[in-house]
Amino acid sequence: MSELMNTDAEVGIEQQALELMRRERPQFEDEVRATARRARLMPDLIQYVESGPKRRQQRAVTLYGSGFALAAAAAVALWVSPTLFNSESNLTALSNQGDFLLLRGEQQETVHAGAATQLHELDQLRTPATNGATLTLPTGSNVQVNESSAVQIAQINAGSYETLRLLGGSVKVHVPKLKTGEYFAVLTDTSKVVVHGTRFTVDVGQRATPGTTCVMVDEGLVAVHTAEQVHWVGVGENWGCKTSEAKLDDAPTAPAVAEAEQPEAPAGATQRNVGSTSSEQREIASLAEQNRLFQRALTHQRREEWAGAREAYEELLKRYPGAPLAAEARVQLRKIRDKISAEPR
Amino acid sequence: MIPSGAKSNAPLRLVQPVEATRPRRWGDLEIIEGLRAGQSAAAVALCEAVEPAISATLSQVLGRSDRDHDDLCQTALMRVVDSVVNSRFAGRCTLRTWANVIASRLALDELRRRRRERTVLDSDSGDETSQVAAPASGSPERRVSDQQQLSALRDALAQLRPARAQAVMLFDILGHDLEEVARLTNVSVAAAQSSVVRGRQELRRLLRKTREGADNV
Repeated sequence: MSELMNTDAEVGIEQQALELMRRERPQFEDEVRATARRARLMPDLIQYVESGPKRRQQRAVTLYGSGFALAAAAAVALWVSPTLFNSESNLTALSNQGDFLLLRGEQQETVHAGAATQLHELDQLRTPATNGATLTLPTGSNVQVNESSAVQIAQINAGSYETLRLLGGSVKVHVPKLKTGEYFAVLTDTSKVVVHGTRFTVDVGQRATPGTTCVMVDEGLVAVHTAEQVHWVGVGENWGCKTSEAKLDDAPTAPAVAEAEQPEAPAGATQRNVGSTSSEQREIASLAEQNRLFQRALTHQRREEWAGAREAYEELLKRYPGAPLAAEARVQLRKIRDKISAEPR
Repeated sequence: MIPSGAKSNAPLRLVQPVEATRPRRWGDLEIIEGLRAGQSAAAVALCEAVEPAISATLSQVLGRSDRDHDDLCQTALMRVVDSVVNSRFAGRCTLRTWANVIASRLALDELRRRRRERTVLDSDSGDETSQVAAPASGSPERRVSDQQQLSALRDALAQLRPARAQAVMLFDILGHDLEEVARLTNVSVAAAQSSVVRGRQELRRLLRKTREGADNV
């Protein structure tokens, strides 16, 4: 408080000015002048006060009206949004080969041969040993559910993501080129297969080693997410499949592990299902090297070591410009270059 | 005049006390209730109760013969009505004090607006209020000097942060104590004190700058 007292003998410049303004307050005012001013002010003030309740009422009506309009808009949006954004109605299952079983909650329904049915999120589709079924998803993806297989529609939201859960058997998937923000994945108990290409097969049945998932890519590129890491599988490659299918080794191996131990080994994890002639072995070695370079780039990228990632991608593109991973490498390289140029120097 | 000792034959009559002949003064609560109900009598009572304070505060800050005095009085009265009706007036002080606070805020807003206008239009022909209403006492030189100081102070107040300007206004110009300033501006006493001290420091700096500028000219 003492700070507010003028202890100094010399009054500050601001105190002089403030004192002047304090003295400016009129102590008395000419009564005639004041009365005349009040007479001028009064009519407007009275009108303002009298119209107050009506004004407040109008304001309340406007407020409630706005609130009602907002609520109505929200209700319409909620009603419309499933139609616009959750295009479950576009999700159809076609029994093109024979009957299949549809499980919806606790209800079961048999869809007969040649019939099509609408599917909803969390529906399950089970095919018998004699025939399969075809699913058409809102993005245009086509899923061939093979015989003795079970699939659940895990998440479906057109324009953003589609996820199927493979409960048993196998599915063959054909995904068209996805737009930005679109996402398609097949979940199994052990992994998640995310689409980066167009055509692949996921099997948790015969072709997979028990407890694993077999992924075979016919066209494009897919990412297999396991608990430990991400494995990229390109055209003609498979991951986690039995050797009877691959006709090479007995056990499926994870690519990164195998490559880390034997970077140049021809029998890499991303094996092709072909015989072991020398030319094919060279091809396998080449694929393993491509995969190794791609993995190295990804590792750098994850650590945000942009220079290392760029170097690895560039080496991959230089040595294997026509490789299945080249397209993805080019995309990632462009992103890294943008990142580097955007960073402040 | 009745001569002493003489008796008047006129009968005695009951005379109303002087107070009773005057119009009844409304209390703050009555005015508030009346304003909320939209009674015109409440508007009259409010005007009588607070208009002198509003007028005095506006005159003090903006000058005694300000060109917009009546309009600003009207605006301040309407703001008082709004604050009362919308329950922004919490009843922590009298209606008169509250009206004073509203008038001081309005005066500060007006000072800022005028400063902005001068800056934008670059037509600073001097503060009109500084040319009038000189104090009655003192030599002409002294009066001119006082008006220059007042003009500089108005300009400086317009440049202060609103919270600081308000605190200085309430404490140093309108004479409220710190507790009142804190209550009226809805801050702690320490915050009010800080605003006053910093506001004064800032005023000092601005006024010195103005004086130095004038000396250089």
